[in-house]
Parts: sequence; C-alpha cells; structure tokens
Amino acid sequence: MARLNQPAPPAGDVPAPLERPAGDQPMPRLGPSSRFLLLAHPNRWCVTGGKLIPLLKRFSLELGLCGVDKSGNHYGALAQQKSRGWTEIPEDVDGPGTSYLRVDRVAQGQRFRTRWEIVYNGSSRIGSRSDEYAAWCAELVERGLVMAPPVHVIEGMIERLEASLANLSNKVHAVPSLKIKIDAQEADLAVLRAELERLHGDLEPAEGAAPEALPEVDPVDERAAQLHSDNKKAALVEMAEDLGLSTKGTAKTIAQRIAEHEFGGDDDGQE
Amino acid sequence: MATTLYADLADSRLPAILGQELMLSREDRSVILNHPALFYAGDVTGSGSSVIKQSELDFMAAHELAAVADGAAVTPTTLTDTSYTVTVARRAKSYEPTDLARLTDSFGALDPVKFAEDATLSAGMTLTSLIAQLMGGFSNVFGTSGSNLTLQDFEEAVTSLEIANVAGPYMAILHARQWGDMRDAIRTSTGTVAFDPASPDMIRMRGTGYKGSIYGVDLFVSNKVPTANAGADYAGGVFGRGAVLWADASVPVDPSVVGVNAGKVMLEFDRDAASAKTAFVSNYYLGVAEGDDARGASLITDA
Repeated sequence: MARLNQPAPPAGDVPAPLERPAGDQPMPRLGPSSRFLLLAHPNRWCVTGGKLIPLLKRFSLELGLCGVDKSGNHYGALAQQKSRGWTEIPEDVDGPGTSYLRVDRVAQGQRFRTRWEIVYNGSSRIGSRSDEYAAWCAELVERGLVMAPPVHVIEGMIERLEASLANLSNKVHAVPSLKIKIDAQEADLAVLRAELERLHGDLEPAEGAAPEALPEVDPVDERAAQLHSDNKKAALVEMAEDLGLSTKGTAKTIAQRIAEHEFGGDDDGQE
Repeated sequence: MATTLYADLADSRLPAILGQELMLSREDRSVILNHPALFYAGDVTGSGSSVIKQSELDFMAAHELAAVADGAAVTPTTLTDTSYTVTVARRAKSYEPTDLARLTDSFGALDPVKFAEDATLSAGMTLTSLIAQLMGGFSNVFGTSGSNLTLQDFEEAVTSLEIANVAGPYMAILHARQWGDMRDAIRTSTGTVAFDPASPDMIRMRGTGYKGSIYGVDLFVSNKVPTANAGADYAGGVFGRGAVLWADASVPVDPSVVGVNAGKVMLEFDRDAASAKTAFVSNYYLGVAEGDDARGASLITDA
C-alpha cells in the first residue's frame, strides 16, 4: 500500500560507461595471413550471383611459398605463375591508389582479405558480399583484363552440372530438401547455356556470309615446302630463345613449350 | 553470533588459484605428417643455392616401343624434361619471457623442453599451412561455388587425376566446413561409399587432421585451407605425388650455439642478463611450391 507524503523516489543518474582497459578492444578471432595477389586462369570459371565469373586464385606472397624468395621478392614467382597460364589482376586494377585488398589487425599480427570479405570483431566468422564481388569479376572480363572463357571449359561445366542434376533428381523423392539445390543448379545451368550460346554466336560466321577459304597449298613448289619444314625448327628455336625458353627437344616439344608460355596450354598441347 | 564471511579473510585467501592443468587455446594444431603424396625435393644445406630444381623426365615406359619393319632402322626417341623449383626461405619465432615470468610459472610451460616442443610443432604447422594454401590454386577445379561439397564433386576430382595418369597415393586436404559437408554426404548416401574412417592408430601415425580414406584417397582436414570467391567458398583440394613439392635446410650448429637442435628446427636460448630475460628463438628454413599443376585438382565449395 502506497504511503502518502513520501519524497519522490530518486530518478537515478545514467552511470558512466564502464571503462575498458586499453588494448582490450575486440579483434576478429582469425589467424594472420600474408598479402596476396589475385590471378585468373582460362580453365577456372564458376557461376556466382547469376553470372559466369573467373574463379580467381589467391597467390600468397609468403616467404618460401611458390618461389617467393628469402627477401620477399615475388617477381620470379609471379613470372613462373604467368608461364603456367595465369593472369595477374593488379592490386590497383580499379585505378591508382585503389586496392582490392584490406588488412585487419588480428591477435597474432595482420590478416589480408579481399574488400568483399567481411570480418567481425570477436568472431571467427567470415562474411561475403558475393554479389558485389561477382559484379567486379564480370567487369574484369568486360574490361578485357581477363579473357572470356574457352568454349570447352563451359561445355565441361555444363556436362558436370547435368550429371549432378541427374544424380540429385534420382534422390529428390527420398530427400525433398534437395529440391533447393536442384533449383540452384538449374539456374546455374541456364547461365552456362546462355553463355555457351553467346560464345557460339561470336564464333559462327554471320548468316549468309561465305565461309573463309583455306589457303591453298602450291603442290608444285615441293622444294619450298621442304625448306619450310627444315626451317620450322630453326624458327621455333629462335622464338623460344626470344621468350627465354628452353630450346631442347623436337620441334613439336618446342612448339608446345611456346604455346604453354603464350597461351597457358596444357602439357599435351590442348587448350 | 557474528558470521565470518569469505570477504573477512582477504589476507588469508587468494583472489584465484591456478587450475591443475594448462589448457591450450583454440587453434588448428593438425600437423600433416609426411605423406607419400607430398614430394620432398631435398635439403639445400651446403648445396650452393637456396633453390632446388626438381626435374621431371618422360622416361620409364613414357614411350611405347614403335612398330618397325624388319631390317629398318628405328627412329631414336627424344627424352623430354621439364622442371619445377622450390625456394627455401627462413621462418622464425621468438618468445622472450622475463625471469620473473618464468620463475613464477607453476605449470612448467615456460620451460626449455616445452619451448622445444612448441618449436617443432610450430614448424610442422607452418609446413601444413603452406601446403594448405596451395590447394585452391590448381587449374583443374571441381565443386560448385555456394554449394556444399558432395561425394560426386570429390569423385570427379579423383577421376580427373586418374585420367591424367597421376601416380598415387592421393591426398586430400579440406577445410573443416568441407569435411562436415562430406561427412553429411557419406551419411545420407544411398549407395555404398568406400570410406574407411581413421582409427586411433592411424591418427597417431598421421596426425589429428587425418579423417580416413575415401576411394583410396587419404583425407586430411586443415583450417589453414584458404577461402575463395571473396570468402563465399573454401578452396580445398586433392592431389597425387608431384603436385606439391617441399624442401628445407638444416641450420648450422656451431659450438657457440646454446640451444636445442630439434631436427631441422633450431631452438636457441639468447640470454639478456641486463634485462633479466631469455629469448627462445626458433629458426626453420623451408619452401613449398606447386609442382606439376595437372597432378592436383581444387575443390571449391560453399564456406
């Protein structure tokens, strides 16, 4: 029961915020990592956010990894990667003073990440702005910094996805939740098929255009043909020397080596 | 009768006592022990270079015998070689506890023997971390970005290696997220899966990261496996011998060295009497590189 003539209860003051000891600021609970560069390869593509984008790899500039030498020099290591068909995406690809990297302070030092990754203080979770990243990757292709995917790569991706869909379809009656996965893969498949169609459209001659005739070989000039064959290896050797490649082996081997250097082809010479 | 409270005994009670056992922090300590799929290119000590060039030759049944007519001369076969390089660089760590920190240590953690154990384990983890970072870098890629790793993805990656004549045994290194998806796929699989889970004996031999063998591939888990696609995916991989090369060196041991030579890792004690502290410095020289790219396949799946 309330008493009369009692003084009003104290309103109370807002307490001062608790003081946090210096150096006790939370940091992402993640391990350190080295600076890296993003590299693209003609064989690596994926569908993200409804777009076919290059599946970039992180080339870590870490001492002792893939040829980064004792003083941290990575140029030789990068040249080696390029000779295997990788294309460097420069850190300032979006203009001078920009970078696709971000660095965070973590308990054991520094951690490098791409600017589309999200880290959280006090957490080990890594989030992603994958739609923005996909748009950026697609832009790399539009800007010509990464070549469009080869047709055979997309065909291979389609084959694998079709096999996966067939496999999932067999199981969806027993596991209905697979329907979500099937829908996602069907959407990816549609993206790949559209891209394949577009590429075929680029490759095929316009309707009504006469196919380009193959150059005719002059059967009379046999000597010239023989000379061409003899000189072929010499020309290849010269080209290999210019590119700083080994000149050992047969003409075919040297040609393959040059192709690998120039186009990043496989060892068996297939693109 | 007055009650004696705990707070009344402030001079005869401690604010806290230490637990009987030291608990280690939550870190990935799954060292990948030497597996036949990892190609050890050698020790550069006394070799004249910090770079090892690993040659590869198309020899030993790489070329079949040609059909040659009786009396005809056989065309000589040219041997073709290629090479991969591994660059060895220094890795080091130093702990510098003061005498006061050490003399009050009731666990024996700041003991030279423990520092030596830490040095060897850390060297193993460094090697593991460098190897794991290579997994996402093969030009052959399997899996679907944003989708969980499936048995089919794994099988396709293994099959691609078999088609490419990659010599076994194969080794897979996956992130724990990917392994979780794989385990789920094994559990819900409607067919027979040739999965041989790791026995305690095998874990003792191969380390805590070893999870078992599937389709004949030894499967290891390491959370050092990097992310891909701006953190949306993890980039594990499967590979055969020759895809990953590593090399190391031995630290010269002089009579002046005060410390422990723990194999290739050197732990030295650097006493600073003026500051009453001792630095426990470990040095290790190693290098890891991708060898033949076609001998490995990346598995890039949802994070």
